[in-house]
Amino acid sequence: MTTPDFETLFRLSLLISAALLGLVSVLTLGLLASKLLRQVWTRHRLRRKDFYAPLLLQVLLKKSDSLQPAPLRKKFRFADAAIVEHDLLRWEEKLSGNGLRRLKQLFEKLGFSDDETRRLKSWRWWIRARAAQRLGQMECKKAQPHLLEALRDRVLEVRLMAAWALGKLGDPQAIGEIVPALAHSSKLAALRVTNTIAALGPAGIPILEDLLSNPDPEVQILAIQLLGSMKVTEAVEPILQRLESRNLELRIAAARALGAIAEEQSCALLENSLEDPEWPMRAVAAAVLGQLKRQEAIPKLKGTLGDRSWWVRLNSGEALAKMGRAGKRALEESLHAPDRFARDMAAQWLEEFEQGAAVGAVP
Amino acid sequence: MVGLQKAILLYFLGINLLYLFLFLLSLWAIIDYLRHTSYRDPREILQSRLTPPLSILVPAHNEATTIVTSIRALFHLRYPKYEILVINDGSTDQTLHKLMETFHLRRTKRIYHKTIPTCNVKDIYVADQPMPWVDLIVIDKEKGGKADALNAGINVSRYPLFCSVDADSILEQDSLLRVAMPFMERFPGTLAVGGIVRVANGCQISEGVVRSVKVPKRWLPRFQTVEYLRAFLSGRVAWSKLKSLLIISGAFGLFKKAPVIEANGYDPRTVGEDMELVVRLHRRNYPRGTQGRIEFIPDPVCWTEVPENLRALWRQRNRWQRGLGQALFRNLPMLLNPRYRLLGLLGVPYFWIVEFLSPVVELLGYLVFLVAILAHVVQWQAFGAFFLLTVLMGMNLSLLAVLLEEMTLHRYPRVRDLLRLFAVAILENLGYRQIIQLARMDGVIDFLRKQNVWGFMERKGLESHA
Repeated sequence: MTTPDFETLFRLSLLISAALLGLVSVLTLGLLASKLLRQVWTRHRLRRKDFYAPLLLQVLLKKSDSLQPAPLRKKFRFADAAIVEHDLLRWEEKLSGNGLRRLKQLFEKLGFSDDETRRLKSWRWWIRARAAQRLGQMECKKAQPHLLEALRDRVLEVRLMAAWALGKLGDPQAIGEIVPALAHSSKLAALRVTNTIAALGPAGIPILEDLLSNPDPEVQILAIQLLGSMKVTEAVEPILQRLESRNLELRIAAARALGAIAEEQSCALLENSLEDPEWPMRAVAAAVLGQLKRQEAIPKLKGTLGDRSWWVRLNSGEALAKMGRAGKRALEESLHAPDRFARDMAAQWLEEFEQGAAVGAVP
Repeated sequence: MVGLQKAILLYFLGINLLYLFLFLLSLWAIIDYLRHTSYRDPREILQSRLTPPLSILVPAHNEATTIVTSIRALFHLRYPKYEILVINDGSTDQTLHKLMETFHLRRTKRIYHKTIPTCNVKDIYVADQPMPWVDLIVIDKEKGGKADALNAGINVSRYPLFCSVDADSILEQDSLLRVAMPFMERFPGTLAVGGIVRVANGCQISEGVVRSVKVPKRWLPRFQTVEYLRAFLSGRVAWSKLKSLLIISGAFGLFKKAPVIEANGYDPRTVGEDMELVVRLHRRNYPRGTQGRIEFIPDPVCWTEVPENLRALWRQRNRWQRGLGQALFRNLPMLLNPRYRLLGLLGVPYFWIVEFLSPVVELLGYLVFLVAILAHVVQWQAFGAFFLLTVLMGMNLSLLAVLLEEMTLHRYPRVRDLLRLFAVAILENLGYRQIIQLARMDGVIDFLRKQNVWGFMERKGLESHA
């Protein structure tokens, strides 16, 4: 194989550099053009917005219960549908009561809900996510089957938006679909689903309880987290059973949920978790017992002050520091413990106790 | 001679094409990232009980000028639960005194749990609750270098994530919420996340908050502004997308604590401890099949003070080059190793050939052409053309980085500033770039001579720039 001569190579390099410079110029021009276009579009949007605002108000304020948006739709010119839809979505945030109800009807009658349902099938994920968001915002009930389908979308943002939209539609049965769809996703998904299910209210609780018997541990964990965050006392019994699960994550989720629900009956079993073979579980159990201020756990917590895991020792010390005088007494006694680690930890937490600044630690 | 010239030209041609590829990948990645973030609200993370708490580690050695401003800025961060650990690494100035006086520190009996071996810790202080949701802890220790200070911070920290921040830097209010987002999305699968570092010189800063973003008034920081844009936006975004990110800046990075402890923390024998840790984390995790993601995200911003005089800049670049050499050399088995997939086959070779050897090749190029002219092998016009080529290439890359900034993140709102950045992108190739290459070459030589000193950094103070 012959290598190119120096001059050819040099020319090629210069050519590539010139091509790059060309790319820079094109991008710069493109940037300027896009800025210009954005300005033109903003001006056009404002003009059309001013044109449609009184017409929309007229339709919304009519006393008759039936909306007549057809003449309005006939007036639509290039991109007007997008401008009107955008305005309706903005008004939705400001209106309430009857005005809001009529606005949502108008959204549907102008065909926007059908447009957005179609967009749920777009090949661009951000269009699908936005469609789900808008359908939820306008509570388009007839879009529910499509939103349930969107829960299986390959892009997380679309799934999250679909879950949020289903929550806005207010059908508790949707929980049975939302939780399994998002259980494997992320903490962010769990967080969104918490808000969604909180929006559905107590009607969703039986469905969450049913999900505790789902064979998938991730689904169970999410259901436990949700029941804990909603402080469902009726769920204590099935959650307690999960403290004996083989799955560590499940045991930890159960302990945390029990801490959030704060029911007396859960405390005794949580004390047993201080003897769990896995240190993260022992650490969480100590933290939860401290959070619950369970005085009966003091002897065991004194014992775990000398645990082989630093996190367990730290959380046990913190738990004792949170238990008032009895906890302080236990810490003082531990200053004479045979175990050096227990003595050190007791000294540290006694100091924190005296400063009144017991802060939380997480393993 | 001609063969060597050809090799040098081929090298330039190759890296030019690679840079173009990285630019296009970065453009796509940033647009994709911005689209994703438009469906995520940082307030959700702020209000959530599921957000993992984190420890901010601020190593400080003779930082009396900037330390109080930096710590105050950290109190303004929006994050549900965090603690700040300042590690006073044997300062001989007023650093500890200023901290004690400003934040009313008291000595504590807190146990120093030496999970990672470090130099002796003299005392641990805590502040009397400066903010209800933040704890301020100051660790006073014997001097052991930045890596040792960070290790001491890791040992004292309580939370599962830690964020390393330089004492001369300021984090934007939402930066922690944004940098924590990948951990919220996939906690088990994420090892570390880095954010963008921008130049604070010239910006209006008061009470530890950047009030107005401007291009620096002096030329040296201006050149560095474009350099930072190029390194972070065109470089790290693309490498992150290729799952081959080898560096998270020590000025701002969020790490999961457990794997860092397993890897025995930062290596105190290097001057590029930030890069060395990231490379080592990759090296440990890939063969086990547990490769957690190490990501870079472009919008959580850390503002940092850059050197304003040539001597300080020279020292800094020398140190960076030595650090790069140490990190690459210590992890040599990763080079062209298919076990590390794209990282071993593309990422590591790129850092060797382009980042580490570029000053050698560029300066050798100038030298070879000069010798060839003197020996009448080539005409001086050829040298001129070679110089023009390197300038053109450098200019293109810098212009693309400025364009990328303007097309996506748009942090310099004034048209005047943007025009200045374009001008700097052109001018930096006529002198500044060659000086930096010389400093880096100096670093390569020092690396080969096994020089391991950190070097003194002058600070003006973050609030004195506007």
